[in-house]
Parts: sequence; structure tokens; C-alpha cells
Amino acid sequence: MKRRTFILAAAATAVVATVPIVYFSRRNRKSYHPLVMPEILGQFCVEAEIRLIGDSYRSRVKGENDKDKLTQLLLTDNTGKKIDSSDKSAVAELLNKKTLEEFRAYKTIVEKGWIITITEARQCALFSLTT
Amino acid sequence: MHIDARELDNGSLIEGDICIIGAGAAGISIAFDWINTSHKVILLEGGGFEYDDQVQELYNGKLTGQNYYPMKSSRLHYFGGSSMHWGGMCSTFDDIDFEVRDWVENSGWPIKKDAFDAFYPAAHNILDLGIYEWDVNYWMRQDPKCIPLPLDPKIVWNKMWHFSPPTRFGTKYRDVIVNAKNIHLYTYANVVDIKATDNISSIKSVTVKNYAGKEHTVKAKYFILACCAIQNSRLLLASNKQAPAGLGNDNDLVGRYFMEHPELKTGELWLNTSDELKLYQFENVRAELAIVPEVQKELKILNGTISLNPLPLAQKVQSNVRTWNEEDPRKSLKKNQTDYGDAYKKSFFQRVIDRFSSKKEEKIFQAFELYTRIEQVPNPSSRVELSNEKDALGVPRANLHWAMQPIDKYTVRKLNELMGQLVGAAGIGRVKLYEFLRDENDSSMPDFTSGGWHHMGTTRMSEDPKKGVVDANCRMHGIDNLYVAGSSCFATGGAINPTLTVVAISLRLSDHIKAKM
Repeated sequence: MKRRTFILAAAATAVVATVPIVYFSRRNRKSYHPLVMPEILGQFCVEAEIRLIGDSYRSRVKGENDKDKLTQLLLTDNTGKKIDSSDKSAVAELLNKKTLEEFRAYKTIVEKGWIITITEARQCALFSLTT
Repeated sequence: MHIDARELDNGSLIEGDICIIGAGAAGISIAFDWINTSHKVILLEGGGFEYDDQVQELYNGKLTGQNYYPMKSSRLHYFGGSSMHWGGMCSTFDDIDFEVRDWVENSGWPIKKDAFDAFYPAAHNILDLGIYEWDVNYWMRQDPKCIPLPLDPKIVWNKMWHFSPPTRFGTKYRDVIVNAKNIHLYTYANVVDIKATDNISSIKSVTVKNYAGKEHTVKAKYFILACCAIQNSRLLLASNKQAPAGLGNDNDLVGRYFMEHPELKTGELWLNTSDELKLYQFENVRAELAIVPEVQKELKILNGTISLNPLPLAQKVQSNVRTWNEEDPRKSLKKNQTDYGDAYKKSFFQRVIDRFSSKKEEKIFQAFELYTRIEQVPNPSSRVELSNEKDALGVPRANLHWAMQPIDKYTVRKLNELMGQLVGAAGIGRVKLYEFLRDENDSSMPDFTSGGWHHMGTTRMSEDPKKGVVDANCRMHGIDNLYVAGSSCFATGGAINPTLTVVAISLRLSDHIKAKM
């Protein structure tokens, strides 16, 4: 085989082998309901770490160690209005809004080293209870 | 001109107008400032022009307290001093560093930052720092890729740093010093004693010795101690024949308030989208994240900055205090540089591997390590003391006890928590604190806390002799012709590497003595 042919063949093989690996590695995460997966934090933490954060929060805040209680707290906005959990995009919008507001009001906690909001901690707690 | 003090007849008398003790960044900067004047300047250097382990051994001593670099290897004892192994990072003090801050014990200088502003440009030039420009907006205009993180400007500002090549004073300024007719450089001239008049109101002479067994006397109108914060205080304490507690030490302050810049890895910044963060990376200049004075006051924290290093590289670099652990500074430097070199190689291969692994590792391209550097609170218990053991020239060795206080750790934690809140509020990512910062009740600094090889504060500046060793002009209280140059005069350390200010304060002192002459 000529040198040029060999290089081209090797390059083509590398591309063919690499593309699926990259593609599948980026898709190895399940899609979760926004109630149990903080959008931004979820980009950085694998499921096991989200679970640890949730466990830690529930062990510290005993009053919220309950699926229904956490769900209610998460789905209620600042005015006391509760939204429907089946509307995923509305839930995501509400939780992202609450998260941003809490950060801006310095309502943060440290769980497993992550500086997160109470809303995010509750999402992790619900994740640890339900998945 | 240059004279090797080993070649002089024993018992020689050397006389001049000014005697500068120590030929490091401070001493050489002052000598440089006097070239072509009508005054005879004696510049005394304990070592020669090259590293000499026998001379370096004179710096050995014992350590207690916070884990630290070996005494022998944390500074250099030859012409050029520690500039011969420094890294080149420079920045200026902030206004708040000079203020009396009611939440920072022993804070406050008798001068303001503007006292240095007149000398910073010349110091900048001596250190080859390029254009004298500290405004982040200027550097953003030079390179559109230099974009600051969108953090609340009422809380965070981007503090600029310049990088010296780094300038090696012993190389760059050797010829100009040696060829200057009025500068008389004596190598192998270790000062072992300072002799005062009977009433200890002025200095008559200093005694120098070397391994050749020669002992000489140096007389001058003015004496300037410029041999680093540890050695300055050691010499004053050891000159105790007339003043039993040491020269200028009537109030038991000499050697106390030793400060460093505690610096360590504190956490990780994870960004929603990959970013080079070019403004914050090592180039000729870079920015670090600093906290505005009003917020420092509100949170009752010290001054400090956070730098951002790509996580794949930073994770593989060890703490400096763990690699710089050899008595021989050449070996420590090599280990330290090898660690950085290996880390770079490993991080390259790691990046390749990570591309094909899990979700989290992919995001490593979006992650930066937070590296925090703070001033430490001036602490009288953090100090240089004399040992019972003497060096080969008969001078008691210096022992160092580096000690920190709860506000130091509190500041590190608060800075990083604040960064996490601001990053979250900006919606750009999240911050994760490292383990040692998570327990709010733990006020100790971990044993991997490094210093910057920055020795400061042992002859601190104050107008009150009960609170400081030197006055606002760096003159020893009670002694009319003895001055101290360099960072041992710092009343607080700021959150910056000190070399630029060491040169600036030395030029300011030089200016003061010129006015007196």
C-alpha cells in the first residue's frame, strides 16, 4: 500500500470509529423530570452525585424528608400558587426562576461542596427519594 | 566596581556614604538609583555571583507552626537574591490595604497607596513589566477574546496582574552595578553584627565575615538593611551586645508579625458552556477575581483574589508546599517545575481520554479550579526568633513560626462561597468547594496551604514605636541612620505578590535618603 493511501485509510477508520463513541457518550444520560433534576447542576453532576446531595439535604432538613412535602414545596411559587407537575416546561421554568431568585437573594447552601439554592437541594432530595 | 571581600586583608575598613546590606531586588534597586551620583555607595552581598551551598547554608533554621518551605531554600543568598528564582507575578496594592480596618486586627499603614503610586512606574520598568496599565478595560480593548465573567460589578472586580520575564536582578543588573564607579559591590561580605553608638541612637558600623576567615568593618553615614524579612529581623535580633533584646527591639516587635500570602486550591468553577476564559489565563497579563472594599467591610474579610486555572491541568499540579520541600533550593525548584511540566503532559493525555468517557469528564472542558490567595492578618505570634544554634559565621540562626488566625480561613471560605453565589446569580454555572472548606467550625488552614515565598512584616511600619519597628520613611524608630528596605516594612501584606511593591518601597526610601543627603 502506498504511503498516501495508508494515511487516508487510517484517517477514515479513525473517523468511523470515533464518531459513534462520541455520539453515544454524550447521550448516556436519561432524561429526567425537571422536578428531580436541577437543570444547571445536573449538567455537572452524575446521578450518583445528585443522589448524594439529596441524601445529605434530607438528613439535615428532617422536615422535608418526604416526597409529597418536597413536591409541594417545589411546585409552589412565591405567591403561593401551585402549578401542575404534568406541565414539564412550566415546572422547569418555575424552578429555574426560583433558583435564580434564590441565588440573587443569597439563599444558598453548601451540599457535598456544591454551592446551590434550596430549590436545587430539594430537587436533588426528590431525586434521591424517587429514582 | 566589584570587590571580593575574601581577597581583602583581614580587618579592612570600608567606608562610604551609604551602606546597603543585601543585594537582592531591594538592595540592587536602591544601588541602581544612586549610580552616577557624587556619593559612594557600599553594597554588601553575603554570597557571590553564583549559587554557593556553603553560603546558602547560613540561611538554614527551624520551622514550627503552619507547614512551610525549608528555611534554607525559601530564599536565595547570592547576588540578585531571591529574584534569581522568582516567578515574575506582579500587581499593585489596593487603597484598602493601607487603611485601618476595624475588622482586621493590627491593620493600617501610616501612609496611603499614593505614597507608592509615584514609584510604581519606575519599579514596573525595573521589572520589565511592559506598558504601565492596570485597567482591565484597556486589556479588553487589546484583545476581544479577553472577556470578564459577568459577575456583579458591585461585588467583584477584575484585578490585573503583569508578568515579569521574570527579571533576574543578578543577571540583568550585574554589569551596570559592577561598572558603576560610585557603587562598591562587596561579595562574600556577610553582615554578622551591627554596632551602634553608646546611646544606641545611631549606627557606627557593621561587621562582615566570610568563610575565608576574614572580618572587616564597614562605616557609613546611612545604613539600609535590605536582606529580606527573615534576615533583616535576624540581624537586628542578633545585634544584641548593646541592646540585649536586639537593635530597635525595645518594644519586642522585631521579628513579629511575619506574614505570607496563604494560597491554595479551594474549589471548582463549572461553566454552562465551554470558555477559554482568556482574560484569566497566564499571558503577559491576566486578571484575578477580587472583592470590592465595601463588601470586604460588610463581610469582615481580608483582601484576597481568586485565579482560575483549567481543571485538567490544575488537578494534576501538587501544592507548592509539597513539591518545594528540599533543603537545596535548586532541587526544590526542579521538583516544583517538574511537577508543573508533568501535570501539563498528563492533562493533555487526560483531555484526549476524557473526550470518550462519561458525562462529567466531558465537562472538564468547562471547568476551572479556583485558586485563592489572601493577605493574612498581621499576627504577633507569627514570628522570626533566634535559635540557640549558631551558623558557621557565629550568628544565631533564625527560626520561623508561621501562624495564622481564624479570620484567614474565614476569608478563604467566604471568598469562595461568594463566588459560588455570584456565579449562580449570573446563571453561568456552579461552584464546588473543596472538602476542607465545608466545615464552618474548622478555622484551621490545611497542611497543603502554600505561601508565595513572600516574607513580610517582621519590621513593620508604624508611626508609633510601640506598634511598629520603622516609621513612615522606613527608618528604625530611635536610630537616626538605620533604614530597612523591602517587604519586612509592610504593615499588611495585601493580596498580591510583593516584588513590585518591594522595589517601589525601596525606591521611595532611596528618594528619602537622597533628600537628606
